[in-house]
Amino acid sequence: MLSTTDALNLYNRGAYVECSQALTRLGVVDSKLFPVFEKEANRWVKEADSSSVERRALVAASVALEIAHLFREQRSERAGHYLVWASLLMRKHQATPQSEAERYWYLASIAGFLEVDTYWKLTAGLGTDAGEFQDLMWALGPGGHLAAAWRRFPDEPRLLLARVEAEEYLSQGLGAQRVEPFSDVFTPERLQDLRMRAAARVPDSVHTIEEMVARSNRDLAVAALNHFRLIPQVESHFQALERYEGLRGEIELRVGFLEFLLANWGSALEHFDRVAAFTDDAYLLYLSEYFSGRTFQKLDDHDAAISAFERAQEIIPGARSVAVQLGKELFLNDRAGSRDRVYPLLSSAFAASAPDDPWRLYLRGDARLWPVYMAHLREALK
Amino acid sequence: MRAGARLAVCAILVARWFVHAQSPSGQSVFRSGVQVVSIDASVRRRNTLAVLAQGDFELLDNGVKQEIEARSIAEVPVDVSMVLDEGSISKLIYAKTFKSDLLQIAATLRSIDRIRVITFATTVRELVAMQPARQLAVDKLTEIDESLPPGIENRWDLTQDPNLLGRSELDALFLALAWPVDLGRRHLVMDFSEGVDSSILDRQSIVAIAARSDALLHIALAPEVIGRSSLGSLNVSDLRLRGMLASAAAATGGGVHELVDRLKAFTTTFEELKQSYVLRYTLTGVPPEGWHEVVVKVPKCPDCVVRARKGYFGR
Repeated sequence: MLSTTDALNLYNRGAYVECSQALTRLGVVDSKLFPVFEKEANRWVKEADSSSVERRALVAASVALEIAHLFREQRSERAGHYLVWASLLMRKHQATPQSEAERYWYLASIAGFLEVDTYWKLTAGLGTDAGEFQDLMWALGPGGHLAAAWRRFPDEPRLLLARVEAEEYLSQGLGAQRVEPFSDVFTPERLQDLRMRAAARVPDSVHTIEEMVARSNRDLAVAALNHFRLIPQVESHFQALERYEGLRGEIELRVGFLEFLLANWGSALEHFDRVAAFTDDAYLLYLSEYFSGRTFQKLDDHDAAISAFERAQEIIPGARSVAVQLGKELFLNDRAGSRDRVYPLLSSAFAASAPDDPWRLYLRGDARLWPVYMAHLREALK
Repeated sequence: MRAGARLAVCAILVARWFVHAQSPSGQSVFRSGVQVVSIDASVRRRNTLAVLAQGDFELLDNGVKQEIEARSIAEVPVDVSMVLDEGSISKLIYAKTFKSDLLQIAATLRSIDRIRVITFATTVRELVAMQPARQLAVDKLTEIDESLPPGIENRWDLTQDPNLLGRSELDALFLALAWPVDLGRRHLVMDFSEGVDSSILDRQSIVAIAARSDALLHIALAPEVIGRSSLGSLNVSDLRLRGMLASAAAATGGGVHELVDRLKAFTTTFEELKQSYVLRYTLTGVPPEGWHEVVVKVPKCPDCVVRARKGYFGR
């Protein structure tokens, strides 16, 4: 069986495929591995001479990213231990000046954190938690891992973007309060309802179920209004990044989505229309069409919604979010037998070979770019 | 339960009611031909299924009485879509495996019936395509994940399941309801639900989709489950969703059942279906387009309870 030291040596030699194969082999990586990994990896870094200690730290932190990636579908704490350990190790061993490998390590690590950290808690230090997860958050300190990454690379556009994406996430509420972004848009009617609920007079201490319900309604309305007020600020922070040409497409998409949440349908559509002028990234193009379709649904323009969804389908065939929404439009607005298309459409979208769904990845920032950054990191480590 | 824990539960329930406040609506359709309409109806008298003759029924389509032909469903072949949640709640609650239940369910169907199996977790799988019930592909059933996630041994551990709330039930139901039913067959969708969902499909849409589908939807709902979380006790069941599911089932003439036993829930539903009627009529005196409200009565039996589709959208 492969030991941690063997894995680190393989990775250090650039034998990435062999290392990955060994790591994924049954029994090598399990939930009990971390204490062993931590002990052996710390020793492996410590044993290095002064000329190679920073490289060894970078290699060990990269292997930790590889293992965390294997845990991405499991409880966040499993991957969290490796990611937090790697973050602290990299803070301790900082080379001067920063290397290209370190830059890619930070980009890959942000992607790795976001693969497992649904609520940006570890990544950006948002919110609170309890138990083991809170311990990990405390270990990373204020601002989470992203703060450390940004301190090392303050001008890196993707890290600047990630900082605003964390704000964007915060502006939509955390956990149970952020349930259905496409339904919970801030229409004038909803805002009026929220303001009325937020102004409700509720006793300071509750004694009955009715009082508790009233207080919960008020507190939720206050929280929703706070999120509403944050959105314009987040939009301006995104727009401040427009000077980075490589981010323009993503900024148009994200500002458009925030305009959608504000129920500014026309403005949202204009932003979505502009995405294609700045990027040929299929993920961004798909989402611009998908969000356009969702906006047309709000406008009750079902023909335009269907056209937008069909364009999205051409960009990433078989993606589930658009298959479900296009299927819904065809099913509910049956014209000339369009309903007959729905079953084959859904059936292929839920086949095993269907691609990862871009909408599912949208609130996870750069998580989708983990393989890209890891490939660069491996190359830079050679 | 401690007072603090109880407060946490209620606060979460209130949050869900509040976030999803809306009114479910919409009903359903089964059509054959341009203006020929078929409506399923079952009738209970004092909790027993009633045996009726054609002349016992009266049907109003948008308020206009129609000439109907009633036929027992016992003679009609049925397509059954089984929708199964592969989540932890089901696995904790039920001692029997999905595979053994499905094999027994398939055995209760007739040689004229067909079955398909859709499972869902964070995504949806059409595990077994529609096929003759007696030839259910046993080898495919072994692909159902029957195991609990690591570290989950009882319901208090449920909140440790990273995919507990990441369920795609409504997407799975849409796939089930979209099945194109052949003329002369009926379609029963039997959904075994944990009452938790985070589908792509919006919640309010499932009622409208059910209303426009050609299926009869019955839902067997697992009991509400309280788990332990960092916030205290957590009701992992979503009451608003449970209401939506009930509305969707009602729109098709189906219903919601408490899920005590999967096999029993299915056989009860299927027996009731076989003892119900297809009321078929050529639409007369009413424009075909738009929403048609359908009222089915049994005038000679005032204490009979009729369960039937509430209406359909004409094309």
